[in-house]
Amino acid sequence: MTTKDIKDVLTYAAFRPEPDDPTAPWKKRFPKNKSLLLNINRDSISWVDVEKNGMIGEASAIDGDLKELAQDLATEWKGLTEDSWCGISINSRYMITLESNLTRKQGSEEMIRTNPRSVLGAKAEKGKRYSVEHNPRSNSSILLSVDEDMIKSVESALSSAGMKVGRIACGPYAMLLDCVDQVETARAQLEKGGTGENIGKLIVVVCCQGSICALTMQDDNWKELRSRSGLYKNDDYEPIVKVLKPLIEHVGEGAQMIFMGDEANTGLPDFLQQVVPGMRFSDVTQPNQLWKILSER
Amino acid sequence: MEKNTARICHDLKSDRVDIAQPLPSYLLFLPILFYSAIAGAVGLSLYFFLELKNAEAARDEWTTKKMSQQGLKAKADQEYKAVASESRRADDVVEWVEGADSIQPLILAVTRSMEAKSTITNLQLTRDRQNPDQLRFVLKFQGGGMLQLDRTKEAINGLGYRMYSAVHTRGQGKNSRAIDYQATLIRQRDSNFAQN
Repeated sequence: MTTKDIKDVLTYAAFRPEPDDPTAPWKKRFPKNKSLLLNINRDSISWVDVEKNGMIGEASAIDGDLKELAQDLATEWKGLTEDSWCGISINSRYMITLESNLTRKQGSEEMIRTNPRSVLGAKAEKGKRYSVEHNPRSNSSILLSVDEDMIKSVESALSSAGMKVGRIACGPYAMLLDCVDQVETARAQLEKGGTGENIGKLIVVVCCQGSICALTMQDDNWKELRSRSGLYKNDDYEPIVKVLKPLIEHVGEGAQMIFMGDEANTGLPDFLQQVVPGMRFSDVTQPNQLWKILSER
Repeated sequence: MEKNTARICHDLKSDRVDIAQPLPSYLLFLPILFYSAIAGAVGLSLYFFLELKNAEAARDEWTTKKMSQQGLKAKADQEYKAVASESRRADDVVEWVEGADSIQPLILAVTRSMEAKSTITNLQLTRDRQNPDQLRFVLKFQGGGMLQLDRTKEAINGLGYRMYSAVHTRGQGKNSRAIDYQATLIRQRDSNFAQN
């Protein structure tokens, strides 16, 4: 037992998860400390500070590559945290796909981090890191794969700048899962109501700082998923249509679109409603949506 | 089905191997006990400090009272000494009065033996410390002459005293009627007066 261990017990730090403990939500890792959240896009970086009380600060962004900017921005970033801890959202060099018949052995969602081959079998690629979310009602699963080089380069760049990486996640994937959770909650409430009403066909659309991920659902099944990173920039939303159009055609009439953006009050909801004028549209975006998910979960 | 409330965001970073799990909640009693002990120690220290202050204040108060009482005691002792001195003097007077009891009949007898024409000018009875059974008798009187002296001596003898070394002198001058008589009186043990 070291002096630090005793200090940690006396300051109650030993009863809290460590800042880089992947089994604990972000807000429980920093209950009384400020932390920093970064979203790393292909050619830009955005960030916010999370206050001690969990309040999200004002977002900032800069164009450029992390390797080049990390050293210059490190001083500012360290000023926004107390121990230089930051959480990363990677928004490039990832793939989100819909898989079926993946193994669902107990702990497979954790095992895929350390031994992806045991879960994915031959589908596992070398140099990739994975995360998986199973549909509890069917045999389909959402699979996230991120280039290991990308993760290591982010870790290396931030480490050399004196920052400590508490978590590396994929923002669009986290938003998609949050959206799926909301759909499941709504479905459970309908089932609880006993009216026999069905949630029907859905297109879940997630847009995160230029990236898009769309998932179609029919009854209990996840039918089709499309994901693109760095697809659109600023207010030029036209590329989104190309991704969504096939999905809209496949899902057919009577579907409802559930939209979640990384930030509220953008032109995206209006644009999407113009793309599919007859479709029921629900915008579930909250202010600071991306940061809110990353800071709470 | 509702996983959103418990969902933890996925993590893709390279895991540190020595990540420690948080300690179980039941061990929270350790820091609580520690801080309680500190709070208790501080509380007790404060309590003892206040008690010490009170004790010191009480000690000062009692010291003041002690000094005041000592002053009163000294004053009382002084008064007691004065009273004791008075008492001693009173005792001396009592002793003198009691000591004079035995010679009062002698004085009474001498006084009664005087005729109307005789006047006592001086009567002294002195007891010697070395010989307390002896009295030095000095009598000076006017008038009555030797007859009066004989009457007085007879009265003294009647009380059981014998006179030794007696000297009597007449006063100087032709018309002097003064007689000065001195003698040592010794009481006879077998006299009736002594037996009484």
